[in-house]
Amino acid sequence: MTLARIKYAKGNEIKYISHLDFQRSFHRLLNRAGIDVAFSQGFNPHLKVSYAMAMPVGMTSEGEYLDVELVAPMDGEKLKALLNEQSPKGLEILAVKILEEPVKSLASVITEGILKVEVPVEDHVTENKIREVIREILKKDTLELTRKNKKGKLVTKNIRSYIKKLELDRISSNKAHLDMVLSMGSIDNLNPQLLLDYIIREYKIFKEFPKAKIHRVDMLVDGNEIDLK
Amino acid sequence: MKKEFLDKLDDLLPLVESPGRYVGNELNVVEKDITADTIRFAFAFPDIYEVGMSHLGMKILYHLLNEQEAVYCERTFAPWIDMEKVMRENDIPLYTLESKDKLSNFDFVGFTLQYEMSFSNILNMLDLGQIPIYSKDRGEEDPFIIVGGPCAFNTEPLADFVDIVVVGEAEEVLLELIDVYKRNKGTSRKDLLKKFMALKGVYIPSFYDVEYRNEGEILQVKSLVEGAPEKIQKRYIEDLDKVSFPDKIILPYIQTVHDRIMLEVFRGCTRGCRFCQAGMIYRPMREKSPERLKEDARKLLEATGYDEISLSSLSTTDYSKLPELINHLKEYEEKKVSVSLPSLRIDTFSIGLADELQKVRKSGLTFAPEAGTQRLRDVINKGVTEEDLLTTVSEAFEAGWGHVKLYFMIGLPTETMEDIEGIADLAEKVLDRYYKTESPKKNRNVKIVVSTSSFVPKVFTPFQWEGQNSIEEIIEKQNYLKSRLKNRKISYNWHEPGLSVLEGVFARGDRRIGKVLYTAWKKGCKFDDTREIFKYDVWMEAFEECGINPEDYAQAKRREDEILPWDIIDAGVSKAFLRKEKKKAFEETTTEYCRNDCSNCGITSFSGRWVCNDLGSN
Ligand code: SF4
Repeated sequence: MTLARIKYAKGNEIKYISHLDFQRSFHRLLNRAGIDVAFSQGFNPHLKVSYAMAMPVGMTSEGEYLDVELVAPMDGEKLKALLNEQSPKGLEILAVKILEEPVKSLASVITEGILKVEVPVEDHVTENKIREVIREILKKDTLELTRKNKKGKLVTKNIRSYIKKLELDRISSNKAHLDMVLSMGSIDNLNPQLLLDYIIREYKIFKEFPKAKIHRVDMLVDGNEIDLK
Repeated sequence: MKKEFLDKLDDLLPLVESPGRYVGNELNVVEKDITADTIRFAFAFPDIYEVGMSHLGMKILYHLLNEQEAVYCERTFAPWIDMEKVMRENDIPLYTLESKDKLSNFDFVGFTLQYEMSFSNILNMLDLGQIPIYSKDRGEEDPFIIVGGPCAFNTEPLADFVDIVVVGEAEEVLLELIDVYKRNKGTSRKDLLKKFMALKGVYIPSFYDVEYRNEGEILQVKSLVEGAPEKIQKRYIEDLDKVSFPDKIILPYIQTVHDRIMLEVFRGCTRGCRFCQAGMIYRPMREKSPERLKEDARKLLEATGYDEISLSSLSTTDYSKLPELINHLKEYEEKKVSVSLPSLRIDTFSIGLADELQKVRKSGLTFAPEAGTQRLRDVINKGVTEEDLLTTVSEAFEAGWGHVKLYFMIGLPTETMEDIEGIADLAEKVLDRYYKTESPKKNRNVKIVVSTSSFVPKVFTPFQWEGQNSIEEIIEKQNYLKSRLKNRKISYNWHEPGLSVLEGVFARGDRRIGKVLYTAWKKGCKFDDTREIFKYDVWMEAFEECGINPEDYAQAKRREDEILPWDIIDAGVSKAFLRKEKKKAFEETTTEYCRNDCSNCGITSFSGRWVCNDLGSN
């Protein structure tokens, strides 16, 4: 079995594309590039492609990953070039690693996401005020968020341990630039927007409109970079 | 080029549903530098992105225009209600997806008229694009509003709003128009229109004035400009193999209504159903060669990476070289590219074929008997029998299909309750065939869907002089059918009757209807073909305010000798032929379809060189 592990970036041009639409587009990209991708068996065969994480609509990223099962081994650099030649605006293949051994799925091993967030600041809120709020949040032992789960039931969760890093980088033209590392993946997962909503509600330092711009810098496995060398 | 509203737009888009509709950036979009010499054409589709991007004609014309060095064609679509609100509240004009420039900055804004119910969206888009709604209010700096498509065969309701109408297939006309424009840049708007007028297939509504009798009948049509033609002859392409077809088509990110490669295998239809406008206005039937189609398919697969091809036409199984074509396309099967036929005629050939194509997914099959009794099917010249249908569905059930959709029209000329009864009977007979099926492949989930739309008389059909049913009559028939279709296995879908009446008014409307359209739009009507948005009462208010009774247009019969609002257009089929067909309809006699016997519809004398003889050969 040959697996191509692909790291890619999603730019501004395609940030409004849903995960499902992106999947469809990526399959067509593989077709255009003429890559021989393995098909699943069964009633409705589909290309064997698996994604590390779905990306929320509106978010950009330079650290997305997916695995493609190939019919025959091929050179990673060549695969990268073929895909980039055919890729639409806003999608760039950053790195490809060919894996010949069976590996665990990306979705099951990803643990954290590194994020850069740009959020408009309420008038008269100073840099110091924001830093103070962040300190206060980080000092807490419990930080409870209530949200609807997939079944529509309200569930409350202590997400304090999901916040690995929360820092103000700077303020420029009335926007706060935050650096975050949050739990992400199949075990613990914290959507950055939920955290922002919480801060807006509790501390009123950020504006709700326009919406924060969220950019994923990378994904980590137990604090380490995904090896694509 | 930085547009002042772009930053605002970026902040606002997260607030609307499917923001991907409004950003562009798809694969294969054309990007050009805009200079003072660039001729700028905004192709406007009066419906949302997902509908517009499913339309093959738009894709063809987009690339055709962009092949011209001097021209830059861009796209725009009707924003959905939520987006329109955001745009209006924040002074964001309607812009094109490519350069993000507002519509009023273009030389041409072209609307395709696919259905009458999108007319209100056109006014709305002009307004959002900051272009004067009435053509008389447009000045030298404003774009020319140009329209085409099937509804261009009667654009009288839009006569006050549009500048140029292209009748028939626009592929060649558009290039000629652009050429005239290029050579006459700097000339006044009026002089340019006069130059356009000289092109075959081009109609300039403002060059005519219509006088009515008191009762509303047309007294005479006067031309206001010297040399304005008395008849506008439609354009059509004789050799489809030679027609331009794009190497690359835009690949949308968001899922569109028809999200696949569409191969148009022929234009026109040889059958001659008497209610069918497409079957008349797209005459003569012209086929593309299997070789050309194979080539088109290859190019498009390469350019898009789609894994589905659908063969489209008015009745694809009538394509004379279908087996050959399917054979050609087989080659792509190992690449897991599937081939589908969207509509099937009721004959046994279809099932074998459908079976061949849909080896794995046995989803639904759709058939259109159109009427419930043989008598009425003869009136409309449908040319299929009950036995045809029952044999075909039996075969379908045997081959493993379980869902069958049956499509009917209610309100056809001469229809009685017996014909409605016939619809229910037919549905039951179909179900009965299912129970008689003994095949091991028999699908356990049988479901018969009966779907009815209401008959709307369309221009250039033998029924163009006929009236349609009133809302009350339609509702009565629908209710009757509902009460008759009680079996759990049979479900019933019906069309909104108010919509059909409105469609009827616009389909055969004259210039006076424009006032109603404007009034209704001012009152907030748009997206009229969307059930949840359609405001029947508001439309009726608009009719009332304008002193126009919709029944005079929809239900009224027209005399065969009166001047019809669309008489200025020559669609190729002669009035004499239409009259003869109408007469035969009422005599319940059928007309052979073209392949077996030519019934002299007039298209051969319309364009001197055309011969319709070798359609059935091979
Ligand atoms: S001329 Fe005859 S064969 Fe040709 S489209 Fe008309 S009826 Fe059919």
